[in-house]
Amino acid sequence: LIVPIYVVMGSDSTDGRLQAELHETVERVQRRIRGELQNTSSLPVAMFNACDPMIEAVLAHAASTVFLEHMLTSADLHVMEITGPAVEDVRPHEMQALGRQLAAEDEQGPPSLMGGLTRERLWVLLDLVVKGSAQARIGAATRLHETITEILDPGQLDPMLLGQVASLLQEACLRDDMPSLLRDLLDQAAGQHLEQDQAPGEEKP
Amino acid sequence: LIGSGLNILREIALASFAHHLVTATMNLELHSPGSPHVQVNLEALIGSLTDAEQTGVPMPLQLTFGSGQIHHQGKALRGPSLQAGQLLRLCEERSVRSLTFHPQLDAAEILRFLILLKALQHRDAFDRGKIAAAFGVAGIRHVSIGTAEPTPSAEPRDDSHEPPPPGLAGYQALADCVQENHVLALHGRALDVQVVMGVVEQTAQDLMEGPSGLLGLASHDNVDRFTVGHSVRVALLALQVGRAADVSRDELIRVGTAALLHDIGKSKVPQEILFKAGRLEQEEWREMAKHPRLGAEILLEQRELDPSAVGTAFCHHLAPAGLGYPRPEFPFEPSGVSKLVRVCDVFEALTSVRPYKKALTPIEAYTVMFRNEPDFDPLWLRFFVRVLGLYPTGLRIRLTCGQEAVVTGPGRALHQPWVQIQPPSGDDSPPEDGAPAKFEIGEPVHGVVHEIQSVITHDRSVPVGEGDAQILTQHSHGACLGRLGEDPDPLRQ
Repeated sequence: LIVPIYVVMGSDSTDGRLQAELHETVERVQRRIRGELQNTSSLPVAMFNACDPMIEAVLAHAASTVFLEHMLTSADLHVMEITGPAVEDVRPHEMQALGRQLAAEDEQGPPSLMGGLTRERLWVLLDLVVKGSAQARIGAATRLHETITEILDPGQLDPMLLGQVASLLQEACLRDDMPSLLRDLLDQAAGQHLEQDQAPGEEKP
Repeated sequence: LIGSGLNILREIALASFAHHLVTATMNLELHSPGSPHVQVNLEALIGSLTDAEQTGVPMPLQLTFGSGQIHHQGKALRGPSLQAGQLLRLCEERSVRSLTFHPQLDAAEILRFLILLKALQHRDAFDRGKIAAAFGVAGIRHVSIGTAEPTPSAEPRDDSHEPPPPGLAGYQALADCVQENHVLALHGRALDVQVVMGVVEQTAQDLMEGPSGLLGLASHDNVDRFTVGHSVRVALLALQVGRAADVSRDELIRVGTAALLHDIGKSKVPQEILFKAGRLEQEEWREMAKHPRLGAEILLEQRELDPSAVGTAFCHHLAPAGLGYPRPEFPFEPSGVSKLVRVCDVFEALTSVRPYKKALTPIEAYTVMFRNEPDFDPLWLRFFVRVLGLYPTGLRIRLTCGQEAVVTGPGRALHQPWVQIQPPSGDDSPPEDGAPAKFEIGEPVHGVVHEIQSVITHDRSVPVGEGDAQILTQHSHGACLGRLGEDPDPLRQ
């Protein structure tokens, strides 16, 4: 199996030709091994014919793997571009180093699982108002209005979140494609936010 | 060696046939009978019947249904059974306890049979006495059924079904739930939110009482049909980690529901893209990358659903620092739930089998994820690893003594889990050396310290020892991280 692959590797082929030769070599190896298996086995030939696609797949994979491993270490062949998916190696020493690193790290408590949900909801809704389908835009705008009304509830006011919402809506309203609903929401949110920051008696901007 | 190889080929052909049968049942929910998806699947079903015959499976091929599983000659086909809830239910409702398939069967005939099996108005056709007439009218000659009612023509009762493994019903309920809601979403109907939350609540309870059964089953579910298996496993991971994150029961249900439905947007992605075997073209990539936003739109319509599910569907491919997709109109930091589901999503994709890649072991997956640490929230990535450990619950391993075991829970150290010895298949004898069935790795048992020699995946046995410098994997996993320029998702096959 290895010998014909070395024959291909030793040739000064161009990229396309090398790939064609690889396929041809793999097929040759497949045919040869299949023939040898059939000759040495007492099983009926039909059995091998039945298994043919699987044997071919396994052999093609094995041959390609061997070829790629050798090819990657051969300076002469680095010019060849490998098409298809990127290759990712995971080596034992790297895994062992990670295991040691993780074991050595101090145990920390869990991050906040439910944290940031309101903010995420607002931002996603706003995104859907702008980029969603026609039906989703209407639904998202309604939900956005409900959510902001909840945020503006004086009993549950979170100044930091309100400030973020005001900034977000301000940014959104600078765009031409914003529905008028958002402008109304901006009025509400920004107005409330400013009232929070405003000293008593100070003139409203 | 050849004998063992043939046995493996027989098992593969049988499992493949059962998988295609389950998929065919599901396909007829999603598509019209004339759809190319249905035709391709049915041709594959017939192909696997031929494979089964040629590898020596006794013909006609008979599958029996009992104890919540598909069986062949009394042996449970565990992988195909995990997502076979719908087929099993159909058969149970019609009192069908076995199906026998003759090798002369073709795709058109099996289609007629499945339509008859599924169609509600034909339930009567399966009553005793009407079967022959119904089959005659439908032109079904190469499928026969065995009913629960003994008839002169029915085969003798076979009660030698394997008992269901722990957690099977829960796993099937989760899979059913995903399947049914993907179908509802595809047809633009309201999702069954109350059922989803009920199933998630039951799963959370099952995980609390005995996690290893449910989590162990995940390792048998090696075919991802319509992203069902993936969604189930992501939900199991999220519930497992969420439990450790000091949240209330209600919050845990919200997290599990969000995780189970995170990929619902894929129901709107054309199947020729979702299941394409090769690399996606640029235009196909764009279509695929729409699924988070489509998922958020679908879930937004469900008034009963907690809004966290909308955010998670939108954000599960978003990474810190603006990486990932979709590009939000206004950049923001995802919630804790979305960050957790993203970690679960990628870990599941890396550790599961796909047509174009092998499954990584958990430690290999962690290595890839930490190598790409900026793609994740670092706190959640670390917490995830700490909760699961280097050998997560349900993982199959081989010990240095040569015995096979399954991880039953985390131990005191990341690399020293609790394990349970598994007897060889068909062997009920107690473990050798008088060793207890369950023990913690690294702790002496009767003077012997057991260590982990290798991790067993669907298709590999990966040594964990020092000093081995060979390349263990050479497969593309960049896609799992949803990087730009690479396939956006590993699950579209």
